[in-house]
Amino acid sequence: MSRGGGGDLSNRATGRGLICLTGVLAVALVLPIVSCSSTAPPDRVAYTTIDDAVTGVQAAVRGYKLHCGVPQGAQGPGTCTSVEYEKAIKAYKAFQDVADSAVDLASKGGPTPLDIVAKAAQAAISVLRDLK
Amino acid sequence: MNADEIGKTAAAITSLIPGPWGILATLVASEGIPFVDHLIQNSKNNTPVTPDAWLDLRAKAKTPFQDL
Repeated sequence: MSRGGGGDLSNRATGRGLICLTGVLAVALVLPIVSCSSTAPPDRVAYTTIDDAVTGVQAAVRGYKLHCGVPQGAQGPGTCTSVEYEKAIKAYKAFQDVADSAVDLASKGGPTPLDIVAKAAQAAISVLRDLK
Repeated sequence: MNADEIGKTAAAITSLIPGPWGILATLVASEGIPFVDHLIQNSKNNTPVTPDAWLDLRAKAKTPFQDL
């Protein structure tokens, strides 16, 4: 077996990316429904939804960086193109802005558009999933 | 399941199932288990959110791309 060889590494990166993205999609689609139907207080519902969206998108980012062969904490596109890598960064930042606003609103006890958070997470994940 | 247990599980899977399927199974163990655990813990928690928890969530959301 050529463990650590190019083929296995490729399988590993692809498999890991797929696992991350599949899990993330499940969260983005299912969790808001589950959390909204629970008996948790509104701030807990908002917290859970935002937290899971953030966790999901960050997992997708990790999957993409693994796909590109970029270690945690490292900069640069790795084996991916700079253009694609910039798209990933931009997608993550766009989601971060939405998540930050949502945290701001929810932490003050105000109504929080959780559907927008879920949609932003799905949008970021879609971009990350489609990048080469 | 903590990180050590996940690591041991992943190693056991790799030794039991050689090749790409073993690698994929390992990835499910290393990525999927913490992920599902996170969801379960969140869904079980119905207490009001503390101010510190909001601060932690904000810091988590602000994690830079390169740090992930």
